[in-house]
Amino acid sequence: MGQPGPGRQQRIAALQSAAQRDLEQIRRILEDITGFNSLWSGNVTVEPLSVDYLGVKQWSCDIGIREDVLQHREQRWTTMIHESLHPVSNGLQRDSYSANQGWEEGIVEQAQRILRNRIFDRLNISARTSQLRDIDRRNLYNDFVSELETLRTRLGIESERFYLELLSAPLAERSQFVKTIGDNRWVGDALDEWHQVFEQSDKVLRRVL
Amino acid sequence: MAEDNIELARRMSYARTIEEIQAVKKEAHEWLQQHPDDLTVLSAGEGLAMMESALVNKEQVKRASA
Repeated sequence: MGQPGPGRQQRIAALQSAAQRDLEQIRRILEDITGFNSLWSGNVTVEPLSVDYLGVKQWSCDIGIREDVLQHREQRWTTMIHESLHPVSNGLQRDSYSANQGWEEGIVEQAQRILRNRIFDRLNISARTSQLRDIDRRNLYNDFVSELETLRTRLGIESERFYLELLSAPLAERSQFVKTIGDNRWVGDALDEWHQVFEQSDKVLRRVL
Repeated sequence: MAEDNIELARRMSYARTIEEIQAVKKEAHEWLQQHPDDLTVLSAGEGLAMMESALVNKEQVKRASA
């Protein structure tokens, strides 16, 4: 792997073509499940091993995925679904992203975990649970998922509903959206306690030191 | 290694200036040469790439309007 030449070019072309086909299918299923339109450009690039990420949604709305990720069944599907969720996320723009990274990446990552089995069923894909668990366990975005789960369980909102509602809220307003749910629910000491929990999680989600 | 890679990945996700991003990006690249299958650092790489691209664009817009 990694050697130049016609064989390598053919292999990259095959990876690109298969990813393109599967991303189109994921897009249709996500639009169906969420009811949101995807802004994905329809372009996917196979990224070389020299890039330091698994996949990325570019600001042009192209998707890039590293070539070795595209050759590992579970990493390929989890990365494709994760990157396909960014273009259905409301208000993902440069400024809102840099100020609210966890409110985007944590939500997209947890939505990926919640929705993937339904996508696998629809596409008749078999994935190894042990591999999926290992991929989940090693993801840095667990920092964000953990804080979102703290807030969700405190609010007592069902998982899928919580993450899909947040995906549909503009990214710049997600933090306030969640805070307001608690503000409208509690008074007195319970409200103070909510504010403490919220502020602690919000700091992590915004990466405020 | 487990502690080192999580600490590096967290620093990647806390980088908020172009200078911080470039410094931690170099560190991550060197780390990944030694640990190419480190999913924790690779998972943080996405956010770093998006953040860098957002900040570079912001600088370009600022310069163009100056």
